Amino acid sequence: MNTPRWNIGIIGGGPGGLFTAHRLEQLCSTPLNISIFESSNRLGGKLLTEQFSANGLQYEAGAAEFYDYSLIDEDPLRELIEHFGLQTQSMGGTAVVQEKRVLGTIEGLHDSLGEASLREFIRFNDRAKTEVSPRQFYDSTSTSHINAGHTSRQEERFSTSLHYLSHKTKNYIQQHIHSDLAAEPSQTSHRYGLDNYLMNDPAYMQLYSITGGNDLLIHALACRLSANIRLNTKITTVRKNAQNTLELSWETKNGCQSEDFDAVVMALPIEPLKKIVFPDRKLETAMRNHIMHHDHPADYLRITILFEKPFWKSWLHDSYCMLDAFDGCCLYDESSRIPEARHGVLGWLLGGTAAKKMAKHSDEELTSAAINSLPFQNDKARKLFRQAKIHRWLGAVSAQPGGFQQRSLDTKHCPDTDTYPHLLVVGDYLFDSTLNGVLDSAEYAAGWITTMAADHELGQK
Amino acid sequence: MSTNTPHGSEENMSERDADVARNTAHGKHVAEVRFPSISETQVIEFLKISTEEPSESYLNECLDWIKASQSYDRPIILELYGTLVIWTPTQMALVTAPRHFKKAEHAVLDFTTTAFELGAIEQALPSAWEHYENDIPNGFSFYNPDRESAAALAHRYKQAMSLAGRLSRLSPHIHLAPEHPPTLAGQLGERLRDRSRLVDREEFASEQIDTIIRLYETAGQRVSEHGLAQREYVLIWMIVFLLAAEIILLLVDLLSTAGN
Repeated sequence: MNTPRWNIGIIGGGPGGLFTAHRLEQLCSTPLNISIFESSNRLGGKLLTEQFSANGLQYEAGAAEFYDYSLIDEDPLRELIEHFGLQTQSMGGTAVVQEKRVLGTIEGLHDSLGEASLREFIRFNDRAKTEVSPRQFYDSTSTSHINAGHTSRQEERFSTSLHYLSHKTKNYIQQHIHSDLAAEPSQTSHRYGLDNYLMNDPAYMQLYSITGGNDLLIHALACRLSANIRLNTKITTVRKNAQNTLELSWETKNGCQSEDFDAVVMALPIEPLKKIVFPDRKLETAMRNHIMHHDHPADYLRITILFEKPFWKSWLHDSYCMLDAFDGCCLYDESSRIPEARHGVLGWLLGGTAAKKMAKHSDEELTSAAINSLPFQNDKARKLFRQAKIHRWLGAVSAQPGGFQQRSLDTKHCPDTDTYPHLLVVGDYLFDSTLNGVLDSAEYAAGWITTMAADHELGQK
Repeated sequence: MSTNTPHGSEENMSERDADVARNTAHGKHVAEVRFPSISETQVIEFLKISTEEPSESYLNECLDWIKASQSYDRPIILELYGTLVIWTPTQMALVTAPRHFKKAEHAVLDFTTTAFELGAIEQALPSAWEHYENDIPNGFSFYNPDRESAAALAHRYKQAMSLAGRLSRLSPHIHLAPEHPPTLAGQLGERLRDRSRLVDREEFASEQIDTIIRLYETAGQRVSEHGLAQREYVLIWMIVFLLAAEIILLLVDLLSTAGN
């Protein structure tokens, strides 16, 4: 007798949903029917590689880089990318541009900040490295630290950690990490702030991107999946029915449609998760609790401008640098990803309050503000301007991934383990707001479902 | 003027620019740098410009200086945080502020020493490959009765091992961990190593040396087996001879006893 196939519903066609489906297909010994529901007309979520209509030149409109932890220990994301045969290129940048000065070295900092502030900065740097070793940094980005309990400074805000520093030093550090945090120091914890500072040290982590566009990872995943992918399908309701399965409902032109699943994974950021209706009161309470714990929205705004030629090579020597504009933003030389490109592309990544505030402005105003924020050659920039693209990522990431109090992995992934063990959540906000974190999360959820499917199969036999 | 730089290079100021080298804090001069530990003959001209003016304003002057010397090497041009470095294997130029000069100069010379040492190893590799194909059969079996062949194999093994040793000593200078917070010297060194692809070149050289060493290690075993076999052969003949002598002596003894 054939055992009926287990039906798995995955809500969200971003990296979290695709990683979960991919791992499920790899791990599960029994055949599964997997359906992925994506509300928009494309897969990939925050991984988005776009093109300029003017000349077809590519740029990253979403996540600009991947984090490489392979120097310290295993890096499953890097291994997956290599497994797919995707070429990568390393990225780097050390400079912070402050008041039209490019501060890329200790010597530059000394000239700009002065002896006292430099000493203070070095003390801060040494203290950060003493507090968090590369190994501890690695562990805090993976699953292992969750069960180790939280540190005594978990609830201390990063702004308190910077409190003792002089204005100059504090400014420099804040501008250095502002766009990584995508939040203000008062909105995040001491440890998460330190992690974001330390990730600039190559001994802790390195950056890379995929040659040809970061969303090649999405294409590589999608073409390997046998799952049924349903685009433009926005799940509105999740409820349990009499057979103890989960019913997903969505709106169509002809009315409401629904389908039953043995297990459901919600791979969504917090904002869309809030919009799903859970008619069962117990589940609704559990979901509200989950959302409240993890609801620390952080905002991004990306302004990308195509120029006739790259005029910035004399002061922007790397893949990116930090600007003091917009409370500290990251300026990417997008064209450095394509060495053969004749045109130049600059990308501004604004984070935190500045991103939220600026997102209200029109595209033209944002373009103008971006060009004005360049420390040098603004006139040349205006003259060489060709086309601009704006991408608003409001509430797209978490300012305090995992929440201020760390929870166990089970509680993170299953809001109601007693009544709804077959309803799981996956997301970068559960770990470290990175793609590596999403993969860890997907891995955990896939392992959970695989075990349930195996138990189910045994029960059937 | 001759000064010792940290890695054993020596500088001699060229006469043609000695007149402009009076002021070491602000000014420019050309020095000749030698690396006696690597090569007795290799000399590099080093144009040093210590100035508070923007370094990019000296770019053309430095490039003209390199062209005037008819250097055919394509230079590495590095402009970084107000410092300009132009580097070729025969000439180099450094333009930076006086307060950064010593550290920047140190970084450039350090890189040059590393690049030269790696270049010297790369140049020695073709001679190590020269006999490789002919020596491959010796990796399987060694029959040459003459001692010279074994000595030649031992010599090539020593050469390859010496190259491996030099490369191992050099590797830490090539795989230097990036500094954080970054320093000007660290950044210059890192980018110069990156632009001249030292890491890749070191890897290729290391792979080649490993391949050569593998052959000569195996050939060494075969030579030693051959030597042992030869000694065994002699020993066997000696035993045969002694046994024969013993038999003859026994026979003589028997015959004499029978005669009595």
